[in-house]
Amino acid sequence: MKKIILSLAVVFVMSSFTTSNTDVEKMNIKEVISENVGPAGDCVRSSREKAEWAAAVNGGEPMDYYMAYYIDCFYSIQPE
Amino acid sequence: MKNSLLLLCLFLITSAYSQTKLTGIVHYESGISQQNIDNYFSIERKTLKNKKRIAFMDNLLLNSKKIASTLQFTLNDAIYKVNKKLTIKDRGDITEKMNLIAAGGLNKYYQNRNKNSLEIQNCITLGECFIIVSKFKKWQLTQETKKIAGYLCYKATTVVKLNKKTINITAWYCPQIPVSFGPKDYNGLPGLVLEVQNNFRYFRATKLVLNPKEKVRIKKPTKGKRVSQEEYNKMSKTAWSKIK
Repeated sequence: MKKIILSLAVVFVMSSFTTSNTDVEKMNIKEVISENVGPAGDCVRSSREKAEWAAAVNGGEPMDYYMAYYIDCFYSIQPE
Repeated sequence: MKNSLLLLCLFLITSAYSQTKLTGIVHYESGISQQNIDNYFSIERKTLKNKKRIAFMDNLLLNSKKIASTLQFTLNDAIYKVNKKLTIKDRGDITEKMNLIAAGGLNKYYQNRNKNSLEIQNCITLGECFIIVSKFKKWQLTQETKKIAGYLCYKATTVVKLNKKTINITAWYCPQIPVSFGPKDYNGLPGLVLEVQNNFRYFRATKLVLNPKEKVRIKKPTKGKRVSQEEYNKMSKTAWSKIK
């Protein structure tokens, strides 16, 4: 019985972990550009600025760097 | 006379045979070029007023790490990839991520000698997979030489315009290894590219293995909508204009 409960608990923890990961995995540029209000909106603006600066240092287009900054910002505003 | 002709034929057949069998793996390292760092600290930094931007640029330039990447080639085609698979969606050091992206990121750079073409598979930037097709770069060849890893290399230069900025590119290629491939999108020269430098970054070969024991298999990326570089640039510009 104990083993069954333990197995169920592991499955539950794993599935909740997978779900929270999947949310970020599914995030893409089309959703991100529509987020222009609230904390996520702040991330859009600050990431745009940083992506422009990164392109100025590294070469390439700001668009290449944008999602990395957005994801970084998005994680930082998520509750622990 | 007969013997000489026989030897010549033998030599030609052997060299032709070895060329059709030519394969290799090149390991590169890339990073921000010293010219870029010097230019920023001696000129550009003094013109900046935004303190946040200065701190950002200082960090990016001073803390950038070298990125390892690999080019696998046969006589007919090649594929270039960055070794580390830290995806854009992973948590991690953002400075390292910037460097990974600049070195090629998760893109795959497929180069084909017969078609003179480069096909970049990009599944990240615009949220879906694209295969961006373009032709090899055109270069100015010079007679300047230097030795890299024991190979005699020749200097070639070209200029690229990006967002009204002029980017000067210098490549060192090795005619002794007769494949027209190189790191990232630096290809189209009459020999393997062992070193490249532009206004921003450098790529340098650190190890070269010719005809490795394990067979080199080039897997051409197929997943993604095929678009020209111009079409892709247009889509990228449209997406950027929507980010506000």
